[in-house]
Amino acid sequence: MPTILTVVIVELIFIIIDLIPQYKNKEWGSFFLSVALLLVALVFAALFESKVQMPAPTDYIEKVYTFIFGLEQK
Amino acid sequence: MKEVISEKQAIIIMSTYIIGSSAILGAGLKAKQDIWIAYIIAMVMASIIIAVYGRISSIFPGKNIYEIMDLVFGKIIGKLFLLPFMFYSFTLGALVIRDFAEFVKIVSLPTTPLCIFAYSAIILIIWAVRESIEVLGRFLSIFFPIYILMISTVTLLSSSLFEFDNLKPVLYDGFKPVLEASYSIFTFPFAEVVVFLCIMGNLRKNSSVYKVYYCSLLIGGIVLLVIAVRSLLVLGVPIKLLQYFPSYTSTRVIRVGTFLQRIEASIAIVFMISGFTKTTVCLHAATKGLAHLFNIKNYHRLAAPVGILMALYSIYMYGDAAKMFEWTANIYQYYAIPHQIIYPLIVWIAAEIKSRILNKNNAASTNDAENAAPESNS
Repeated sequence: MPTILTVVIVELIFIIIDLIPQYKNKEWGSFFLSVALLLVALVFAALFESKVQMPAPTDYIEKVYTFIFGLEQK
Repeated sequence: MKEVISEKQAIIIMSTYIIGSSAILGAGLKAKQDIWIAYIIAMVMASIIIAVYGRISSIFPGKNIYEIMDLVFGKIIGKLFLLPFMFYSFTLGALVIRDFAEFVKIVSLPTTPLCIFAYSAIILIIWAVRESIEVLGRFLSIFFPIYILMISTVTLLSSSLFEFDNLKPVLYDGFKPVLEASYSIFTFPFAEVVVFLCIMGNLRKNSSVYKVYYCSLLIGGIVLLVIAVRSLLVLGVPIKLLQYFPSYTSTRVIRVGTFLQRIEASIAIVFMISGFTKTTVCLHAATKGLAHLFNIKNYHRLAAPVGILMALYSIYMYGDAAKMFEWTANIYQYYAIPHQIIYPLIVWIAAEIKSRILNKNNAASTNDAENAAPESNS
């Protein structure tokens, strides 16, 4: 609950301060990219809050570098 | 309007960046009582790779690394090369936010969720990026002397607790742990200044990129060396190795009479300022990269969505604090190799070749113009 609530509040602040002016100024490139990124953040926050097992890039990075450099697996 | 920072501001920003989260986390603990030797070796190693970073910026002055990649590799391959660099800046920023959040959680507010700390920090950081790097430079120009004064004062106050026997025996475990620790310190935090390749384009004309890099390395390196040695002299090796935040713990034990104690908040403030600076620079780099990738002129517009994602990534990238410390201590030094050494070397070599080709073409076109001028006069 706290994570998604925080994300929603911060996103709402940003939408009011920045996204609406972008729409009004017809800055479509940054507008659509911002919308896409905000949706991605919202989805991730919802998944995280629902305790869905998401692959963390750091785990894959660890596996790759452990393999390449022959590190001890823990 | 182009953002411009002076040489002095750049040095201050970079020094604070280098001090960053290392001021509180500590690095190179493998060296144990020889950590001071590890720091000196790491600074020498960093001075070599920093020459490469400086050369990249000085071949194409006034341009950031993304513009240089486009110039050198072309628009398509340049954008491909941009992706890992952008991801590295993004991950590094998320790592610092997580360090900050874990620090506050472990030290004072254990039941508060991580997201509160992460998002409280990211709101300010997003604001700093939106207001441009000039604002960060001006902010640090005021606070940097105070910051250094705090570190110096804490060091002086803890001098009565110093046990110089904690520095002995020198090189007891041989040179291998010292070399391993110096490499670890090199990757975290010295060579992380690779992210500044995005900011060097904002340096005032006629400023020396090399001066910025080397002065910052010297200032940041000396401060970190002082902090590391202070922690060692106060705590000793066995206690220091058990601590998540040795610098903070070494400050907690300071007591001057009955009136001056519990001044560890000063170290927390030092970490807030340096962590804030480091994350701002990383977010700045990641946002600029994303804007360059999508040909968006005003990168400030993307600061908030990238920042929100960065804070979210910082929360879920590690399961817990122990995993974070283990990853930072064992994996990060290998993860950093392509981003801090290999990509910059490739970009540097390609930039040198490109600049020679451009110079040849310019010389040839100048000769053609000179040859054509006498013919038109006659």
